[in-house]
Amino acid sequence: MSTQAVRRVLVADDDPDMVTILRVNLEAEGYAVEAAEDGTVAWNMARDLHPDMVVLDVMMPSCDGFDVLARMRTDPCTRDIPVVLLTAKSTDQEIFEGWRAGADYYLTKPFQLDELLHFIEYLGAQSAL
Amino acid sequence: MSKRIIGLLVGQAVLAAVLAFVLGAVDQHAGLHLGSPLAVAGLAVAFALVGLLPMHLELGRSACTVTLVEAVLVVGLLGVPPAAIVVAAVVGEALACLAHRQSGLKVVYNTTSTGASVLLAAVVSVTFGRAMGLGVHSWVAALAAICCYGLLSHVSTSAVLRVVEDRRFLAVFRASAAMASVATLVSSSIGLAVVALYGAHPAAPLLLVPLVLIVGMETKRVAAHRAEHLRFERLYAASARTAGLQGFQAALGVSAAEARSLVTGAAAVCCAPDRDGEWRGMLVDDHGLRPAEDELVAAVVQLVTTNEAGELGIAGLDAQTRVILPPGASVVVAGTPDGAESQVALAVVRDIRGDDQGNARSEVLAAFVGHAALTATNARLYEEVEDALRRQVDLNRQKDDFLAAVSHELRTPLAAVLGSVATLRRLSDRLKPEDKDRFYDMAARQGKRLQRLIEELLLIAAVENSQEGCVTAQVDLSAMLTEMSNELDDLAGGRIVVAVAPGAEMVQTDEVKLRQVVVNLVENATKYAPEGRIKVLAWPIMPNGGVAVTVVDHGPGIPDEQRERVFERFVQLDQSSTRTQGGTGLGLYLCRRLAELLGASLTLTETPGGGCTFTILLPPPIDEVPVAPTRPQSRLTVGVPA
Repeated sequence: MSTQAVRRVLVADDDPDMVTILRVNLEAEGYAVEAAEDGTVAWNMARDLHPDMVVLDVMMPSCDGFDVLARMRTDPCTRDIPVVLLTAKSTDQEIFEGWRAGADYYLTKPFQLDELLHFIEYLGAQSAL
Repeated sequence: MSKRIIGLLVGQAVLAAVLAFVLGAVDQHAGLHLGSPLAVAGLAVAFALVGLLPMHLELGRSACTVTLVEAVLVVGLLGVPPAAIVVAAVVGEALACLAHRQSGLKVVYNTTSTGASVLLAAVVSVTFGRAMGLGVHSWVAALAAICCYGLLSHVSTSAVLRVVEDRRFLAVFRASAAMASVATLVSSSIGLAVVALYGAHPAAPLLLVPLVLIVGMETKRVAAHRAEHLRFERLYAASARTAGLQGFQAALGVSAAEARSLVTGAAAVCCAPDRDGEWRGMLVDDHGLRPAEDELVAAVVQLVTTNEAGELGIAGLDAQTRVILPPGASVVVAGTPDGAESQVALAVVRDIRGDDQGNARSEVLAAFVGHAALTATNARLYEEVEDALRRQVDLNRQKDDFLAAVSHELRTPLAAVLGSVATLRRLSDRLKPEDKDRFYDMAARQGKRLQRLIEELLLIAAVENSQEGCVTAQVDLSAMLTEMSNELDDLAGGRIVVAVAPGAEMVQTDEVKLRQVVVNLVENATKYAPEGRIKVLAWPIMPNGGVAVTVVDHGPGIPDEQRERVFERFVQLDQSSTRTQGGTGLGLYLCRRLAELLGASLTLTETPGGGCTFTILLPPPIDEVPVAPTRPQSRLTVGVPA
């Protein structure tokens, strides 16, 4: 990993505390972190910045995470960016909806930081192949 | 329609005039000679009598009504001058029609039709060489004349049926041509038999009277039986069509439409009390089905309760009812008996004045009312069951939604607490002290949010189960509000103003709950209205004796269409404020539930000049008679916190 360029992760969550937690931990692992506080901003940043990875909350103002994910999956420019859904939505129905929308991983809040970091690393390695 | 019938009528009158002229020309011998007046009168009575005694003839699946008009006509043709037959037939037909209480147009039409047909028969008879008395020649002449009479009369009837039933003329004509010919032949044979018997002895035709009477009575009985059978067949069919599961309005509509067709009305109204006991009605006429106006419903119910079931002439009703009812000549009314469990009032307005069928119509309608009542009851029950089911489904969905929302609302702060603690542990050696503090603060803040949420959820659960009820006592409102404002003043930055009008200092209520509502509202105001005074006002409401407490702010306010939404669970109009203001989205919902427990209402209006005004309307004490103020009271006790 150290031989490659710094990986950029887009974190989209409307809770500033959650953004802080993710930013500090991801930066400690050597990632560059961009943050978006709502769905529309997240979609714009995903398209314009083309990050290596997106960590997406679902319940956000203006445009929810499922919509952002669906838009990313239909746009050729963002189609292949790995997306982790990180959300307090935890019913079977919601989880199913998340996988169907094209998530690479679905984590419910509260979550294990280690699990998230491991998976982001795994996804990064996959897409680097 | 009546214009076209009048057209037919004029055509017939012209035809009759032409035939009268021809008759005068071909029968110069007799001219317009009438012969013995007694014979004319006798013939007229005979025509009227046979017209009153229609006989029902059935052959296979066809049926027709036979009168002995042709028989009388044969006797006349062979016995009196042609002009005398015409006069007698016209007078006799008119008398029979009037006795049947037919409408004016019908009387004129039938009389003209008879006149023209008899004139034609007279012309044919004279042309063939009319001979008094017996002989094959005169018999053939009479038969030819009767055939022409029958043909013209059938054409005339078919023409008017074409207009009334809106069918093709040929179809109407063909459908009953065979039966009409049989009827004509039967009837004219009887006439010839009378003449033949008369030849044998003048009293001999009387031998036929018992035979004709028996046949006549029997066919009348069969006709009545058949008519009743038909009526009940239609009644059963109508009942079957109203039997489906349907809503209340639809049930009334179907019943009205069936009642209208049962008694061939122009318009029908079916009324019944709905689930709240309020009378509702549906009106059906040529323009279709629609709810009846309240005054029409009232008029129908009035008609049914004040009149026996039956057919009433519109002219006999009072002026106000006449104006309200749909236009017509008569109205058939029927209602369920007094004290029946399910009430229904039916009124069918008919274009045609009542005739001898009026009784039969009201009987059918009266029989149908019972079924309409059953239909209305079924519809009410059906709606009740449907409503209950819908409410249950709604309730279940609300519970599911609430559970999902609670789960989400609890998980979010918990994730932040656990996330910040995990971060502190993972990166403890790499974090700067100020960053560590940041995460400690975060854990504490989110923990508090979680605590507040749990407390409010527990409170809501308690309020919704509401086992404890209210502990009402005399509460010193001005003391309570002043104390509260002192406690919250730091939070509000000294912006709270309390004013209690005389008469509102003491209220009877549950102090803890009222205080909770007011505190919540004031806290809300400090959060969402960062500037301007926050006024807490209380005043007595005259004349009912209640007390209003309002919390007024001058913040950004809430748009009109959103005002009711703020009282729903987990609704925050500005989502970002969940974080910035630390709200849970439960506060106003809780306030409203608490206010409901107090028997009060909580509403949101706009502050003049912008902002929110929340008003709690406390009910008057139950056992206290409201007292009117002795003089206008404007003095306020104002307490501005230090």
